[in-house]
Amino acid sequence: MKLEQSHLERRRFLGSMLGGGAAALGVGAALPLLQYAGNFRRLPPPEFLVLQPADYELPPGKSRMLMYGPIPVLLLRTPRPENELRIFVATCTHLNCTVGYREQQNCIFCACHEGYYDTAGRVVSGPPPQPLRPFFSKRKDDKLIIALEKENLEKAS
Amino acid sequence: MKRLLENLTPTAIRARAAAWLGERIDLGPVLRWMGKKTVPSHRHSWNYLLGGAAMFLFALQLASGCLLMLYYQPAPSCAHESVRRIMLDVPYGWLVRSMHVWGANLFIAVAGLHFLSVLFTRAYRRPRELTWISGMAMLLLALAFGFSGYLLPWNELSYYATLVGTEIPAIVPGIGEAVVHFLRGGDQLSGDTITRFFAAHVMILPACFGLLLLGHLLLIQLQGMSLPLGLTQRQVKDQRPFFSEFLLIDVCVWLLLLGLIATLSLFLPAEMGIKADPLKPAPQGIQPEWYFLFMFQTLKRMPEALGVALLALGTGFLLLLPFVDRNAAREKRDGRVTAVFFAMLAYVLIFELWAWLAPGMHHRREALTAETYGLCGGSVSLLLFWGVIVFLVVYLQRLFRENTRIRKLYQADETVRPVRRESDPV
Repeated sequence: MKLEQSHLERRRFLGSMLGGGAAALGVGAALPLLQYAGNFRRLPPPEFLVLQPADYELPPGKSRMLMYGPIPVLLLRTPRPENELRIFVATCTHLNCTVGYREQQNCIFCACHEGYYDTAGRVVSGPPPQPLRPFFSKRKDDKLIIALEKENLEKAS
Repeated sequence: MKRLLENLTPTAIRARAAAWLGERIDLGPVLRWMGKKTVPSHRHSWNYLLGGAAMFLFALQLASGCLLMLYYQPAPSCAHESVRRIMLDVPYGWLVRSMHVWGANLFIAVAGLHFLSVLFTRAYRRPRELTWISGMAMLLLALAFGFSGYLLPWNELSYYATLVGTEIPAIVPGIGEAVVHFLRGGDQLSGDTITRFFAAHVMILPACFGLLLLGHLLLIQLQGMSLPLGLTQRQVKDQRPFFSEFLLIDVCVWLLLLGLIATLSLFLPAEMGIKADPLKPAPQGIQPEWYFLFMFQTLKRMPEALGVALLALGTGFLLLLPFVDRNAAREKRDGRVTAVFFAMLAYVLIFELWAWLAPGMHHRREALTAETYGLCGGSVSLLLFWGVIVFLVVYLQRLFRENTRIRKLYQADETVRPVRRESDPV
């Protein structure tokens, strides 16, 4: 039997239909799978956090860590004569490691790639590209309210 | 009765089993292929041992990994405790985990040597581009195995290494943040991270690696072993049959590697570290495994974007190497490409050493107090183990020489005797 052009065209048409269908099936399956595996829904951090005196009262030159939802927070009281309470997001701006306060050197230090910040959160040396992100805070009675956005402090009050 | 006994001799049982199998499956083509597979013998032949050694170590990782899965629990609250239990309470758990950890290190080292030997002999050249790409993909997967496995004990070192490692894609504009989120299963390292790393380590990566390995081996069977660039067929002294000769030497290397892993596991058992705590700052002296040290040092000493771009560029160059180094396909050694290889090697070595020698990077080893761990008794067992290994290696070598001798006798016989055609009268 002789193969005619129309046979070949039909074959090509069937091939492209099946190919298109398979691609649609693939995309249809891949999208929910990616959503499932990626778990891309972002949970926003809390709007504010209310700290009791026991949480934030520190002697000069001492620090404390606590969690703001999933975000670690560094509270530190600078040594005398400054004696100021400073609150930062405790993740290094380089690659997200948790930073800590070093009493002896009076600086904030990230051990992962040796990044140094001063007690105002400014980069002193090492690879961090930006200063540490500070928290906004406000006193209410004997409590301390901290928030990442300034307007959220108002909501708390 | 006599007949029954004759039927029960090992030879008779083997013959009957072969006949039984032969009736169901035609093994002829497989046996013919096994007889034909050869390995060229020349002054660089030892290179051919490296791929097999890496494959053996991978198999050993699968075996020890399966054993670890019997007790390991992938959750932040209990991962570290379950590893502690494996190391201290489960009989010989320390041995299984230490062999898994040392096996992983040796696997990466041997795979790295295999990579270097293929690189410098230019064995990637046409027509073996696909073999090279599949091998490179496996090398990258091996690093992914190391990275995902490092988190599983959920200790301080592994926690921060993963935190840093998963943050790196964030630098890619547009999709970077989504990739970080995907890798961690959320914004932060959490239980979702450890379960997905566990799934990747024990299921996804082995499945991908297995498929790539099948393709890699299939390509090697189809194309045969490559010769180093500059070596001609005339310089090949011999073509050794794989299954009756080369495999015996392969097995010797595997046995020696097994002995080495057991020795390292006894004298330097795997450590547990301190349980990770997101509320504690990263500890001093934090560093990744040795095979990531040069990347770690790059990120430490260079602006992040530049460091990541350099590493990505290097990986891309190596992946596409057979298409870049066109001269190799024409059997010419390109000096510029060799210079690039040496520059890359020098960079890796210098940055590795730089990170390795940095002050504060070394710590005291943990003491192991498992009931089944005893350096004294263990040393005696190890000595016996090495005795068996040496015995096997000696006899494998003898069998190898004997098989070569018999083959040469047959070959000499065939060259003297004229080849008889089937049509010739007997």
